Amino acid sequence: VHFISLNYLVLVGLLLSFYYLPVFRRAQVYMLIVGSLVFYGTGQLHLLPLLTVAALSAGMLAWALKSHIRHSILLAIGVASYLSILAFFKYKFIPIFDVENYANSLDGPLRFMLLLPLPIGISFYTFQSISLIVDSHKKKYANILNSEPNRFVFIKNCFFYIVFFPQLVAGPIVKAHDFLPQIKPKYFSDVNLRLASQTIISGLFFKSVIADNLNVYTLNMEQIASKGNGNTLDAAVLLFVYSAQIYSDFFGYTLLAIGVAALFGYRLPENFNIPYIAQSISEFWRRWHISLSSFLREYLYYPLGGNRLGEIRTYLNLIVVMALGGLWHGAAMSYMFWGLFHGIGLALERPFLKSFFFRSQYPLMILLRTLTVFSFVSFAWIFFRFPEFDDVLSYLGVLISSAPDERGLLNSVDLFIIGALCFPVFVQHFFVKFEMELNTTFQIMIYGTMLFLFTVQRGPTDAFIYFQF
Amino acid sequence: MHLFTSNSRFLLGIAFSWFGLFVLYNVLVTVFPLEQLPRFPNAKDSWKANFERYSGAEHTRILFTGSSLTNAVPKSYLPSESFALGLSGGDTATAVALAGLRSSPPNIVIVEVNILDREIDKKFVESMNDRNRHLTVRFPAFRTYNQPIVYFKEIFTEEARNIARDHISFACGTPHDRPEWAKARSKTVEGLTRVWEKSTMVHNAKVLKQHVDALIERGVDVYLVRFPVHPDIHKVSYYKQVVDVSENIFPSSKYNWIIVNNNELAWYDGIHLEPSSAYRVISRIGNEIVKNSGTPPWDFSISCGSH
Repeated sequence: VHFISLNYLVLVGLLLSFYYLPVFRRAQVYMLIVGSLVFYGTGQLHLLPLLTVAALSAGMLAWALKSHIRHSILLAIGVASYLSILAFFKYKFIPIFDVENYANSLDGPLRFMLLLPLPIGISFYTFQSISLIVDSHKKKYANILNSEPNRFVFIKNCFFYIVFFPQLVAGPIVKAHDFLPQIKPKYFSDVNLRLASQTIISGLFFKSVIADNLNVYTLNMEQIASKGNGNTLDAAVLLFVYSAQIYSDFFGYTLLAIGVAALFGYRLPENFNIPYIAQSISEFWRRWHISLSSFLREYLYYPLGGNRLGEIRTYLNLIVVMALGGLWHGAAMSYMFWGLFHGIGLALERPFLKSFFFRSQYPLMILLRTLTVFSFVSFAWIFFRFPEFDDVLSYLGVLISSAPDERGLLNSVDLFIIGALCFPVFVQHFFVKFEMELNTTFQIMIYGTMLFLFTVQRGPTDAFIYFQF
Repeated sequence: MHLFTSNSRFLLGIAFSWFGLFVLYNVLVTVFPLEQLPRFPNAKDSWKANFERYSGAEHTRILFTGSSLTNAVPKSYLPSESFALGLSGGDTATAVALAGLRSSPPNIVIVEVNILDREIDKKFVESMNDRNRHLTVRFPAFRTYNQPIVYFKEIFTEEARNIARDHISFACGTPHDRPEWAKARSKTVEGLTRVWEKSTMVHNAKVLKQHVDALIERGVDVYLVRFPVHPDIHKVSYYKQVVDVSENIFPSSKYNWIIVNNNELAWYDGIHLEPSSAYRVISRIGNEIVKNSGTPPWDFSISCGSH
């Protein structure tokens, strides 16, 4: 299961060669379902049945909810089942007890289940299943969900919505009411090849050139955390570098997913909107991992009462939602602390959002706010970078005070290269922020250069950070 | 129907732009190649770049293979028609396996036998096979040492060339231990003083033996050498085990061992030689091989008299 590989290119190429042929028009969804299952099966064949059962059940449950029994108990059972699957697979690894030893002392299916690895993309496909069954229960989406009267076709479409391969393993999380209406015969003439190629090239560039090359430097963070090597300056610089890396990694992946989906005529939601120009933490969350924050807002924050139940309850809701959002990323306390840190930040800034500090439009104040939020977000990445809490504490130790004679891990040449690699992230934020338009020739040169750099300057690692979630 | 829509013109434009840059860059790195191999922040990139240089160096008569101990020897200290395939963070078996990938191996291969706890990186060796790197062989722009970031960094800073110049000036100096190296040495001693799995070392030594034997079968003169280390290291269990295992797997009755004394040498950390010591060690290895094989003396570009 890898997006930047010959296998993936072959899969997409093969599907595209037949997908738009008129003779296959009625089979387009089936082709993409088969392609998606092949894609998933090449990564975790033994966990393919779990995905298939989860997606089929979601489709059947959605049919039942929207057609016959629009019943809250059925909805609750459905949501609870998907959350249980997610919790079981994701949180069985919480090191409260030794799962492996315990499993080995058992027999039968429980042993088998306990010994299974984390299914790739489980956080994403369970969330999409929840979105499907919740939307099926909501009256406001009745028009969308009732547009397909045939049970078999409806369940097939729901299955396809959950397993669609470009977004299967790491999102963006697509809501059922956004995706299902898109399922219809697709024509090649409708594909915006220019936009799709721009998106894919940008994705390859951000992921392989920027994120993977920056990863070489941020690996030093482990040395800082585990051995106490490096000094305060290294620790601080690397935190900001990690901010650029994780953005480029996830943004690059998302662009690839959006671009490939566009080739097949599907529109996936934008997941990022230049997050590092945010001037408040709440604005950051409207710009970062938009599909997750919008999912949490719609399916968790609002049901908890949102901001309708008074100030104190609003703060509590923010903290709870963010802590759960953090825990969604993985079975480690530090992910929860990362979420809590953001939740507390959101709660603390909320009373001051109308103050002079947040409302002033003086350029210096805008810059100050942006830098403050960027520093806050970068600092919080420590919890994200190190699932082991001991490592977080060690890193913080070096960040606060390092031994005076400790030699730096980064020299001036390293800093120069890091600067060169982070520069496109800065430029991208700058261009989008000021809505700068480039003429076509210049665009062609930029995309040609990005593609060239992708072919000759790919970083040595190729793992996507978000694939682990 | 128009054959070229604005979509296809845009895509063709990108393709031409990519092609133009690719051709220009290939020309640039061919006309202005880097004299010295730049430093890489990532170990595997450094291995790749080193191997790519080796596979392109057709007139290699003498090859040094090993880990970072071999890699610590500056290139300017090596005799003419020689190459050092030292893999920092790696093991000698990987380097020897890489040496064997060339259709015409060097006449003499010197094998460093100092580290036996690391396993061969088979995946890396396989990835360096010619059939898996068609593009790298044909287009210099695809070679690791020509990656734009390291290439331009080197062109603008001349870091590697400056280091090489420094090494030349250090070569004939007198090695002396510096007080600040004692701390690094005690860290090395601490790191090597633990119980090592002897069976792992035996296994790794046997893998190394297979690759050494393969080279011998192809008519290569293979010499095994244990790079000298600081006397403090002689006392640690790791070193004792390496000596014990390597002498068992590679008996001196069957393999050519070169014994290099550690008089007048100094190390950064007890195991990695400082430049003038590295030069002395290479000269001593050269003298021993010449003495044993009766071949003409090695031709060094630096001359410091007798070491």
